[in-house]
Amino acid sequence: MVAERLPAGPAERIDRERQISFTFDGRTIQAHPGDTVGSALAAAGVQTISRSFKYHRPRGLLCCAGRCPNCLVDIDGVPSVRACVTPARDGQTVRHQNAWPSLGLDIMSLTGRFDRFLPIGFYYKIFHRPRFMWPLFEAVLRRVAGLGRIDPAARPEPHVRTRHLHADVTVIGGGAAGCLAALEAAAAGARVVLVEEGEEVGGSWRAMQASVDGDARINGLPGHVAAKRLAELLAEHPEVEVLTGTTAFGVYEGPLVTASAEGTLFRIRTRQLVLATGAAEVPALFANNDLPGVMLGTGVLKLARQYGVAAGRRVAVVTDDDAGWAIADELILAGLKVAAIVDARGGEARRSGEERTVPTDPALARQAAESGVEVIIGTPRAAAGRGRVTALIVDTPDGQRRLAVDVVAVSNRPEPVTALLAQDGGTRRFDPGSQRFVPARVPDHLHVAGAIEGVAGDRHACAAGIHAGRAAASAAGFHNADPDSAAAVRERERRAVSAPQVDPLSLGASGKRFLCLCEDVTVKEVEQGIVEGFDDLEMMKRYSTLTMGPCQGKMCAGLASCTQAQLTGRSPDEVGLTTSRPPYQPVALAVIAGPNETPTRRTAMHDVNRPTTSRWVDLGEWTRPLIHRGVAIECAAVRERVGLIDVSTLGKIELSGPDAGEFLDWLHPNRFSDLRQGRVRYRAMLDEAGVVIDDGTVARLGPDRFLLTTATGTLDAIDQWLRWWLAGTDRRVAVTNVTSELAAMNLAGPRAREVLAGLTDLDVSSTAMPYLSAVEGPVAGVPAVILRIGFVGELGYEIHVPADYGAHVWDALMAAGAGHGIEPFGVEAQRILRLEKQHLIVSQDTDALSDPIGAGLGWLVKLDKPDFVGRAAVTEAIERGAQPALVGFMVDESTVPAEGAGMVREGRLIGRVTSAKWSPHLKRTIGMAWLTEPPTADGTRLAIRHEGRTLSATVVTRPFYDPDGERLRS
Amino acid sequence: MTTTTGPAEAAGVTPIRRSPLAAGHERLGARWVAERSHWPASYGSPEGEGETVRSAAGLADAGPLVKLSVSGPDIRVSLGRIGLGGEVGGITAGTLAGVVVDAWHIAPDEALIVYAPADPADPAAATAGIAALRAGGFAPVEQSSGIAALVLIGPAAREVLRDVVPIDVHPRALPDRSLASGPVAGIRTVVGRVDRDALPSFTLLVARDLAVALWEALLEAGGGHGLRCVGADALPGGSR
Repeated sequence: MVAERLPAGPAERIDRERQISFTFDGRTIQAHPGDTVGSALAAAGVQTISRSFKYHRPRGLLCCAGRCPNCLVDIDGVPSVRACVTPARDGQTVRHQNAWPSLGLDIMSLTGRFDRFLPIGFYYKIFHRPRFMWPLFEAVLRRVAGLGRIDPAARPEPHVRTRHLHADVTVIGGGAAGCLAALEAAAAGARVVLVEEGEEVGGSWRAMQASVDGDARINGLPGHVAAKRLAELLAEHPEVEVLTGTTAFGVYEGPLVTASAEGTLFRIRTRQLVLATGAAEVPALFANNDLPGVMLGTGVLKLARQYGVAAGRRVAVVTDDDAGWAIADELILAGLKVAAIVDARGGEARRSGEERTVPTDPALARQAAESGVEVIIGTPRAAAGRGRVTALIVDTPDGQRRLAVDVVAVSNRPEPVTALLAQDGGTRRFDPGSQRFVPARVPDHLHVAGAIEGVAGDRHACAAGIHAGRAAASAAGFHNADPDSAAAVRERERRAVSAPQVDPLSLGASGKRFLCLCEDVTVKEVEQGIVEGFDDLEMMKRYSTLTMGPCQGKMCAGLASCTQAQLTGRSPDEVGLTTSRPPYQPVALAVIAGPNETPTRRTAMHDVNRPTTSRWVDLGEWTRPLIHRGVAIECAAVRERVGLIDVSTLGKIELSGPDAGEFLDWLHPNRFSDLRQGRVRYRAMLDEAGVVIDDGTVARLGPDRFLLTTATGTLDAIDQWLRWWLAGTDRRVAVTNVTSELAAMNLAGPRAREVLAGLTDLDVSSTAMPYLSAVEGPVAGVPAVILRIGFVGELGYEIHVPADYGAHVWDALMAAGAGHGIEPFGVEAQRILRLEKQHLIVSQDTDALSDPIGAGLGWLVKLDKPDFVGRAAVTEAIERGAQPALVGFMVDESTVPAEGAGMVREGRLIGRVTSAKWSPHLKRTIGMAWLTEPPTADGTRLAIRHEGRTLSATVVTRPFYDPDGERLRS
Repeated sequence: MTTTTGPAEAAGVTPIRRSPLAAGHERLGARWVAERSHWPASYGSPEGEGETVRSAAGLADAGPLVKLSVSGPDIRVSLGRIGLGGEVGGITAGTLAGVVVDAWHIAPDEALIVYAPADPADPAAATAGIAALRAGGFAPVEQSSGIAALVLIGPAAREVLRDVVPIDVHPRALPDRSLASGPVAGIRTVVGRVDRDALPSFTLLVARDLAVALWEALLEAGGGHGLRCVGADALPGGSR
């Protein structure tokens, strides 16, 4: 069936001149730009959009505001999207979820027939026996549980971003109160951010034809025109940022407001916060209150006004408040046929013999009478119909009535939207007059305005918004507003609003009355839960999953409290509300995660290395050449001629000041205060537990000036470690991280000296520049620090130059080395070469428990010097006879065991492989292992577990290559 | 580091100073500020770049600049001895060794002296500044290479920045000649506002290893605001 659209109205959002189309379960749906998926489906006569969670009952549009779970669909592969607020787009593929084999014929709907086997908390009660059946139960439960399906093979690349906003005043809610609060705060000079979840500001006015009243800027304008006027005023103000289509879903300490729009996460830091989140209709508790055709009154009106869609042919408005009468009037103006208004008020009064006038506003009664609407004082008992509403059954003082209608518009007194208030530390109390929870205590930085206060009416909304905006601006330090006079007006308008007359919640008759539409929890189930002892609402929540579904209590939190109160003989105030936690509205995890902001760090030689690098590797934030021309070629060049590697990623920290030497002594188990200027010393740093946390070198460049290098991945930790130990002391030491300032490259190999000599007038002979010396001087015309050290076990020079000249010096060295057969070498060759020398890498060959004795660094520990970090732990290790645990090994065959592979001796696991490589120079597989059974002598035979078999290996305690270090010192 | 020239120059090895972004500038056809100093003076259309700066937003790789880090307790007060004192979060203009400099007061114990050298290709450009600071009792550490300076300038500069920083860059929170530290597109950055010719202008100091990442992130964020690369010639007042 394709429903006719209503005649065009002034508040509608669709472009009737153009058409788009999408598919719903394969059926083509025509829509207009401006439609939502939900409005287009309604216009096309689609009644059932989804199936409910447990009983798989048909569900149709309910709120049309993105608040309920009834229209969750899969759109273009994204599950659980709310159709009612998602713009229709040409070519969309919309599919139902939670039904099989089809939405119309869902086998799981049989569960409704057997609901006595699915009582509240059934999953705690059944499926336990027989035990052998559990795997089957589990498989079935996993298949039927949940909503929608995510394709695990899909690799979506969501275009998400995070925006950081700063405001003096943030207003959440773009209804009349929110807009006026924003305008007033901005007028006082404040920077304002207004967050509105709808596509436009104006709140309920957007769908209203009736004229509004409350502020000179909009007085007398039809609601939808007033809404537009407010939008214009906001747009004119340069210091107001309006975020429409954006849902504020969390309020955190700060205050920090988090909000999301399509693909964007907003983090709004604000000084003052105005909550103008309004009040929203919630369902009524009559039997079959979930039948398609039962909708919230504002939803029916929104469909009609904004999308020109009639939800049905005959409407019964069910209400317990004057608001419902106003909605009925608007529906009639919009072109719908309202057959009856069913007002539930007066039941209590009648029982006590008290007379009440319904509605309280005589004008509303007059309008209804003039429109020929039948008025029924009574309580809805049930909606009737198969698959959709065909009648409403009402209990009246004169007996039961059956109204032939196809839409039941529920328009009870709206419930203040207070979830964000509660998140921000505010409290709520139950107001017996309105039978709703309203704000009680609010934090100092928070202001509430409008219907959230539980007070209805345009005039109050306007006055409250103006006051809240001025008060917030004033509290933020903008004193040109006059909050006091606005407060008086607000109070006057509040008093002018007649006290609501709402009867306490009626639980009505028997039948499936859904309290929680998300989780299919009925009133009857709650009754049973209470019988079982769950009389506390928070416990009931956990037992029944009430308020835990996709709507997060928007539809049921207040009803749940009132129901629990009535069934346990307490007041709702005593029962309270369940805890409100972020996110108030579902947010895609990708949006929360934000864009990938993991930057790549590039060294100064990155670009000059591009042409020769065949493989790159990411190491932490850095991208480095892993392999240039080939590992074997690179290793051979270093061992036989000369190689050049970019080692700029080493951490480099300059320490200066009279106490720098003593400070380094404190931080290390060996000494540095006695290090001569122009000399380099190996360093290994320990934590308080004596664990090796880093290693590198320290070069003394001046009397009070040291250059310390760290491992690539430990720089930040060591930088902080130094500053932490310096803080609060009177040590005169300046710590400067110069990692980025200095490009570093290691020129290594037997011909390294000849290459360097061609680019500097320094004397680079082994006499003038011996092993472990540090010299400052020019290289290729650039000031440099040259450290005579060799991680790869050859004559080597670690050359540090200002990074702006890194590429120049690299090019110069490559050019100077061309005649010597120089090769650039990468990280992989470096790892092999250092392993041939058994030079350890902290955190690869050691772990979070490795002490220096076990790591073979016992020679470094000087217990004859004053106290140092880790001394007590190291002393204890020595006293208990700790032995070196890190040993080299050589495998009998060429297979390279995995790092982490188990080392076995006589059938017992005695350690693990920490490093293993094939050595092109030695033509053997070599490695290092951490053993738990020292001492292990040279030549000891061990086995290595590798991919289900055993490799034989021999312990080699000394370096595999140049064990006496002659080449290093040459 | 001491600076001398060695046999390298005699051998025809002339030092070339390269911006961390030089390869990217080269691909865009940059003309350098000096033959041996590879920072872009323009990308071929100084007038067009100037217009971008005046009407939308330009992103420039400012440099080469001398940057000298000085630290110590209450450094902002100590720098007052040489006319460069100021508040934390402020940028103080002054002179050092006869050169106009800015002192960026980044933290109570940390400041950065920034200035444009007379010869952008001189490897020893910082020598006079270092000497002057040492004479004043400070222990400067050169960071000229280690810190890259990007300039985001133009009427839309704030809008571009606002999309990628958690820092409040509103003029009320970050007025002219003030600074704030924080991540820009997830990259640790010091953002300083130093307006030029009444145009909002932000100088972003970032570790040189991350300069390419920041540059690319800003260009991506600024696409919708008309952001384009501009050379130093388009910057009113030059690089500093």
